[in-house]
Amino acid sequence: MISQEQLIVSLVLGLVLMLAMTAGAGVFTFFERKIAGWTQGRYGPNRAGPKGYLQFLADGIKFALKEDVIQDYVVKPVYVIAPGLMMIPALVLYAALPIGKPFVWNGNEVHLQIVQANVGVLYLLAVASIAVYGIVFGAWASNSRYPFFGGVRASAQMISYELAMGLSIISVVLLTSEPGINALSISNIVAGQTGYWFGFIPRWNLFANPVAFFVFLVCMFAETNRLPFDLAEAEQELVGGYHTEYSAMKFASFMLSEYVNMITMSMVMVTLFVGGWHFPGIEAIRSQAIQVLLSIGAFGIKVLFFCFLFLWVRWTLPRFRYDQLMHLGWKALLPVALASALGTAIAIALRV
Amino acid sequence: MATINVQRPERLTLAERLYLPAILNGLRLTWRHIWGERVTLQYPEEERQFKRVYRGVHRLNKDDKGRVKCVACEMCAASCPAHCITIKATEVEWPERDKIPKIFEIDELKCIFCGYCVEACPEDAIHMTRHYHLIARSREDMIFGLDKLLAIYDETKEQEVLRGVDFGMTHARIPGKEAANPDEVQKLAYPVVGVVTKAETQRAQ
Repeated sequence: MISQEQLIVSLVLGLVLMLAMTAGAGVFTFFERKIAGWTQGRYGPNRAGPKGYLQFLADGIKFALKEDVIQDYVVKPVYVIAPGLMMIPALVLYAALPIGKPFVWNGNEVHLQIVQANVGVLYLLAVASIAVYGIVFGAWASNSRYPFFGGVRASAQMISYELAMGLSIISVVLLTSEPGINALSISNIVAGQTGYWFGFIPRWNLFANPVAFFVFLVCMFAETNRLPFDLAEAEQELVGGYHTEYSAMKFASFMLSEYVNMITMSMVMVTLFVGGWHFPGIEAIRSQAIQVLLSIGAFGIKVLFFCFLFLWVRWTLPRFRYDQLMHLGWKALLPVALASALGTAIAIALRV
Repeated sequence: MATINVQRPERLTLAERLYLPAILNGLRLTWRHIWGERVTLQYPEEERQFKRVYRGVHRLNKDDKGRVKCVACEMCAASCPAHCITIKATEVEWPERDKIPKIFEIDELKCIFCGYCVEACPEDAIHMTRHYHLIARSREDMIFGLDKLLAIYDETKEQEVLRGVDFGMTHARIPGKEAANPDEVQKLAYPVVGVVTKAETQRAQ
């Protein structure tokens, strides 16, 4: 039974996160363009509003006012729901992630988490795999060749990289598992990362199993369809890939869900591998309120770092060729992820 | 049978096949660029500064009494490869000249900005300024007449611009003007480039 306090926190958190994610995605598009400019020796957008910070509003207004073209040849029902299908997984995935330290309110323990699923990890994997339907539906319903290619590529890519991603998450679950602890619950995964080795190295899974961390990092880029794995929308080859035939708000929601997805995947990454809300020295803080606030701040900073990493990598690396992508997914990442899961299992078996 | 030994590329090393060192290198490079110098010119606020031999919009000079310096000899029109200069002369009873232009039109759309008119002018009456904002709403507006060309002179009086003497011409009829040093002309011949803010431009003019 959920306590009343937990219910209030969950509802408020749900509302705040939902708004923050959509607004954050808009701001994210702005910083994408800024960082694109900076890496290329330009300034990036700097005309709309102070220092250009209102550029994302201008973009949004432009998309909202544009003509919404629905071509005669598209499969209309599927075509219309596809952007929504892309948006929904992006906006529900973070429900299982704790964004701050649990605290005690009126004698009840409250988790800063929208849903406390006891199989949170499975929830993450399940919702993440739904994301590909938006792309595939949009691509297929467009009834045109370039989107179709994009959709086919996206589905193959997602399937290939989900395997490695799942295996790297298995390493995390194994690291958390101890007798009497439900290792599939995400709050337990974060709680398992709160200790220290030798008194100062935080017990983050990133340090416990760097290989799994790295595999997950690569898969994260592939899952969000970001460069160097953005073959689904490869502009130079496929015009726009799966969203070639989309315009106005439908196109914008594809774009937006890409950015929401990036934020969400950064959150998943931080939760599973970088200790979630934990930061070194959190135990030394006496006041519960400050502890909770700082833990939320630490989580935010870590997420921002990974968001920045997405942009940084995008403007550094060229796109993989399709056969290289498949080679990397099946012949490199999958064996490495398997080995890391096996290695973790053996290490834990020996320890226990 | 001749054998040609072709240099085959060596197999990639393990480090190269892992991509990782190369990726880290690339990330380091872009990181440096993120904090590095910006090369974009913020145009309306900043303008590119050219050397004074830059060939921009023409101007018609005025003499010390504020009258048009041109004597309507039509040497510029004759030397113009684009045939963009139209001159109609009118007679005047001045002690030092007998005619001045009644109509002097340069079609700035036809002009190829070669500077031959400046070189040809025996009176040093036509110069080319460093103005490169050449904007109008119609083709007719792009035909600059006497008034406009003289107005450009008033605007750019203080500016050092491309003069006839820069071509190394002897200006026999202009006392005090001598042929420029050819080396100096060569040095000036490449318009290069610094960025200044608008305020600095205005201060310089």
